[in-house]
Amino acid sequence: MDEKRLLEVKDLKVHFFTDDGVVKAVDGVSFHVNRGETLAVVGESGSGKSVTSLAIMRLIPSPPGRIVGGEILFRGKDGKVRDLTKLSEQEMRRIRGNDIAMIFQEPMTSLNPVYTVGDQIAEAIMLHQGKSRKEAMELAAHMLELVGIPEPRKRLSNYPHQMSGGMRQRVMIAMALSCNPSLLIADEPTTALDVTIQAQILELMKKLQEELGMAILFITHNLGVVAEMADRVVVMYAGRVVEQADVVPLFQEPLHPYTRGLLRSVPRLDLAAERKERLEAIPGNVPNPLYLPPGCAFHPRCKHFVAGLCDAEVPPLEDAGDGRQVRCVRWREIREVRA
Amino acid sequence: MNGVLLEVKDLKKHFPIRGGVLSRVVGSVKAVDGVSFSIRKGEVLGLVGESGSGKTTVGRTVLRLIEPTGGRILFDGQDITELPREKLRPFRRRMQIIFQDPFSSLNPRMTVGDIIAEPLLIHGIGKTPKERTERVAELLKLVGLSPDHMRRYPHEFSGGQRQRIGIARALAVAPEFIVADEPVSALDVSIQAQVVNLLQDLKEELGLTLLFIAHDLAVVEYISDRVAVMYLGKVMELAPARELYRNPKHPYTEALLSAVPIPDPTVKRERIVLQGDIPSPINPPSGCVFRTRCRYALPECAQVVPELKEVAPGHYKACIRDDIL
Ligand SMILES: Nc1ncnc2c1ncn2[C@@H]1O[C@H](COP(=O)(O)OP(=O)(O)OP(=O)(O)O)[C@@H](O)[C@H]1O
Ligand SMILES: Nc1ncnc2c1ncn2[C@@H]1O[C@H](COP(=O)(O)OP(=O)(O)O)[C@@H](O)[C@H]1O
Ligand code: SF4
Ligand code: SF4
Ligand SMILES: [Mg+2]
Ligand SMILES: [Mg+2]
Repeated sequence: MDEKRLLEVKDLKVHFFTDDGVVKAVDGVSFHVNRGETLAVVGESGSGKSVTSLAIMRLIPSPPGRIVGGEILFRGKDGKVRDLTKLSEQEMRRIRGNDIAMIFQEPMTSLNPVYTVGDQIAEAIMLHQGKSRKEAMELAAHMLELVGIPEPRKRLSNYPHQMSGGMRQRVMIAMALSCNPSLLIADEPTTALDVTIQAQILELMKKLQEELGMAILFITHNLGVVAEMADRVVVMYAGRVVEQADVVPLFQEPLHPYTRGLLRSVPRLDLAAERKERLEAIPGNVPNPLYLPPGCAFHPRCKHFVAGLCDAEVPPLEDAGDGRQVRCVRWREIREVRA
Repeated sequence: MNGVLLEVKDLKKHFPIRGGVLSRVVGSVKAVDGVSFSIRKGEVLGLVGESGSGKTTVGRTVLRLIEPTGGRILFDGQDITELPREKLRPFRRRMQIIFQDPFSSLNPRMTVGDIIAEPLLIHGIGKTPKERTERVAELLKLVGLSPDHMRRYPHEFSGGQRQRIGIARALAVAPEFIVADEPVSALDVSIQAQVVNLLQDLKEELGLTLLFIAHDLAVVEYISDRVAVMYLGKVMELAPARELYRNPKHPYTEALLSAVPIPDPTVKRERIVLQGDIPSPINPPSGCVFRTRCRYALPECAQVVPELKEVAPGHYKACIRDDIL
């Protein structure tokens, strides 16, 4: 694995074996994360973002789910590269405590309501860093201060329900960062929050990344948040990566018809006042994962669809130059079509 | 200019908090605390604000789905604030609501046809089953679905399709006024635009008047003629949409706009980050309710409750300072 790389996901396949059939939630996903960078993963609900991140953490509920193929290469703090799909549960626990941490959309579901936040952060620190209770509490207070919680020492004795949503998300971040991870996976960390609180959390994450240098895998469906946070972007659709690029080229010249459609369908505060034209909606619906359309899964909604070409087989993820990748058989022609 | 369809004057809704063994009232949540606005026929008024600011409560109170604690609601010139049930009925037909959650707002055991026909039955519209079926088919087409969908159940539809069903139900009785409470918030980005466009078309085709509630400022700007910004149960600012977004006059609106991430990585802005959380509506700050987070606050701001005053034609703000923004 390249020296710069921290994580490399190769042809990952995660399937769920349900009573109704096999859901191929993640079906051949490849991407990488460099040290210290922020990679955003975007896509609509059901596209496989969370399943991908749970697979990296090896937290796929099983049954019904299983990693059925691929590799997840990760460079540990010790410099060694391991395939996470092959680690024992015990080895994985060490990775989760020391190298990779995760925060979720709804902090309430990942905080235990019957323990104080101080106990919960300290517990995590004692478990993974072998510190005494007193040292752990000290560090917990320090972490709360780091994430901008006023009167951190007093707050240690609060229960989660005594805090607001934004405050709880700060606690989750404090807990996640207490082990000084090299990779933070953030799954829609601001989706449940108001914009003003979202702004606080995004600023906080940027500041902490500068100070601590961790890489962030940022999952979101909000293109504004992507533009603000990401160095690079992976766009997912129906369990596959359809485009991958640095953030500026992705927004300036999206190559995949789905990415183009997404960018055009959001009303923009900075432009709307000038150009109050009709929003360009992507027609149709998100496909049912049990019955994915043959060939390019986006084809029933794509205005560039060509019968016999797009629905014949799944288009390969092609290199499009400058480290970009796109999964569309017509990307070269489409690139020429402005707007 | 069209006439006013809905007028709300000093609307208040305080929810009692009960406590103790006798469950006596020990306080109240001031969910809506003195809100006034009007909506002209054919107009879309947007209502934005952080969660808990009172948007939903305003929407439900103007429809008398919950009873106001104070103030007046005038619909088409008639005071409906205290109309008894039977007298309210004809008004209920003229005012409908679309809910945020397309998953829980449709009865899973009813067919789509029955869901849409229910308001027709309630209001005695369409005498025969055949007439009602025809109306349902017409409504399904109107919202971009197919009449064949009538016999299917909600779980067979995606979020965007369910929201269309919710819209068809609201339109069934041919209302003049609709409260749309976060109608696109639960939808995927690629589907949101479909529903926003649909509402826009329906509004034009049917001449609907809308109270459009949302927390996504860009969506509200897009669809609204005028926008009201709420904070802790009060309107902070109200102005024509374009004017409000280009030229916010209230410190809260300024901060709210600045918090919205812009989907363009080359745009770099100085952001105003509001400190802290929205205070509890049980004990709102004295004077200006925004003062605990306002970067322009003066000691006087704690003394008086600023009135919503006109600061430019059609542009209102509730702030004592005229020397800022
Ligand atoms: N039935 C109730 N009893 C007590 N308090 C209530 C009740 N309904 C609403 N509230 C409170 O009133 C305030 C405003 O609620 P409302 O739901 O109208 O806000 P909102 O701005 O629409 O919020 P959101 O965007 O989260 O839906 C909140 O503090 C809420 O907790
Ligand atoms: N426990 C599960 N059992 C069955 N299917 C699942 C389970 N978890 C996720 N899925 C399916 O996997 C697909 C991707 O889900 P997810 O990764 O959660 O999407 P996203 O996070 O992008 O919204 C969806 O079709 C979802 O229904
Ligand atoms: S492969 Fe065909 S259907 Fe798929 S995105 Fe490209 S042009 Fe559209
Ligand atoms: S009245 Fe005072 S606290 Fe309130 S918005 Fe104006 S300046 Fe800020
Ligand atoms: Mg998810
Ligand atoms: Mg609400």
